Amino acid sequence: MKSCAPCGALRVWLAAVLLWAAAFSLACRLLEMPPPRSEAGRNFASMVFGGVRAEVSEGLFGQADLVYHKGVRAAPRMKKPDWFARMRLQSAPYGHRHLRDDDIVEIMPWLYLATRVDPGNMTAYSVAAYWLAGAAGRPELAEEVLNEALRNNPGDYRAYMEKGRLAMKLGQYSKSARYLDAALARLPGAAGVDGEQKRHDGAEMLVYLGLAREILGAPLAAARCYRAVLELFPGRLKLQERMLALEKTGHSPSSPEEQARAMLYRHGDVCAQAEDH
Amino acid sequence: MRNTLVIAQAVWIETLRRKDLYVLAALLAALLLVFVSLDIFGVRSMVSYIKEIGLLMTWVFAWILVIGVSVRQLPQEEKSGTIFPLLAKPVTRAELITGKWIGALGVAVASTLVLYILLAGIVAARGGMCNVALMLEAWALHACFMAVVAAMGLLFSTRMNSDAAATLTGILSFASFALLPRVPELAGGAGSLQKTALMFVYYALPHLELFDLRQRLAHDWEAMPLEPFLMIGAYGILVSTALLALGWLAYRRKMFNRDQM
Repeated sequence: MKSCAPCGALRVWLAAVLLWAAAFSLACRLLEMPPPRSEAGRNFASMVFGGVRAEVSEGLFGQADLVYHKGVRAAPRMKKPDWFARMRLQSAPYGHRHLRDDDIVEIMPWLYLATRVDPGNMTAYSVAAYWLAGAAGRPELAEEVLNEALRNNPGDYRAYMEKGRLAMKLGQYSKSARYLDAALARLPGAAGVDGEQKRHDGAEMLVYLGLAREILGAPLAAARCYRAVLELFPGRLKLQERMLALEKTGHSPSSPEEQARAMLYRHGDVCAQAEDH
Repeated sequence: MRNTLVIAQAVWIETLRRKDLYVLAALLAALLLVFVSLDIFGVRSMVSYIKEIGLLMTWVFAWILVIGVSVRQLPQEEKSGTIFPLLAKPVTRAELITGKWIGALGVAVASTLVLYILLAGIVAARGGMCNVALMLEAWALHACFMAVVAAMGLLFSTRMNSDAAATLTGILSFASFALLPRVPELAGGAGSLQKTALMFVYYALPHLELFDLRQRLAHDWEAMPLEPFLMIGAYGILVSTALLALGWLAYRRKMFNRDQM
């Protein structure tokens, strides 16, 4: 049977409409994503593939998280697991385990690839620097990672925040205060970070800055930092006590070094419950 | 049985003569070498990413190879006309299908074994270790995966040309691997009729994800307990046999016409 000419044309039009709809859907999906986090390194490729790069980079970051959990994925929950689900539980890693101590470096390749795909992925840089300076015991490598983050994201407050935190870990308090000041100066104009996150980061930086100033012997400047935190989060009673003590006596109830150490090396696992897996 | 093995041997010889096997292996080795030689933030001594990437590439390699080899066997015989002398000999169609399946599976399983050994060597050279018992389990279940995919490819190629069969096998095996485990979740929010249809699909299609021990192997978990391992292996053999039986049913009365070749 021969196909008629109008039918052929109709098919072409139908294919064109379908392709257009697919392209439009993809464009909508990509435009939903946050804008690139920095203007640095925005070449033609990053302008064209920006959204896709961010997605791939997030996927690689997710892979680092999976490695941290020793390959345990969130399993679909079934009231009555069938035979297939039971077998899946037997064949796939299951339970609640994390990488510890020296093994933590196993997440680095995925964080490295995440930053190579999207140099604006500050979260990947931050996490890499955190573990390198902490459990891996390689602060000099953490410093290099953050220098690279700063080169790629000169306008991003998080690069300065991480540098400030690292300097504090290394006991370089005046350097830390400088970086934290620089981070706070860049916080209001930060793009691509949601408001709540900025509020939390701002409060955290002010607490670190306050502790650094306490250590450097400027109790009133420290108290001003804590007051600014209390304006953001009025419910922090311990901080209020600390601020009042500093204002009254010039001394805080606990050692600022210890307080800083407790905060810097705290890594509360967000998946503390086994059910999360 | 002898006829079956002779046909399988012909498949092995034909595959070894072709270049695609070597091209795939060279690509895989080159890609793995690139990843191994990366300078990752100045840190060394990491092996889990090599295992993970190496295993992923081994799976992709095996998947492409087994589909490519299995789907072209029957259409190639029909297209070249060699099906006539072949069936004129005392070879039944069941023997033909089984021989082709054993041939395609044998090539893929042997190539995969080489890649597993190569990967273990690279990991050892980097100072890492592989649990040998778990590696054997992973390879055995991987072989079951390839058995099911090869049977699926042969089934489709009994009634389609090789391109169509490859596309269909690729889509169906990928969906069975990646999407099928999520079907009960999807069915939870669906209406009664949709739920029944989705659960039918869930139970009817082969669950290829069961054969995947990559995460266990990459993250240094202990070997699988023997009982579930044997059960999953038996499931693989059962599904492969069912697909081969369907292939035989589709092929046993197929008529060939020299004029249409």
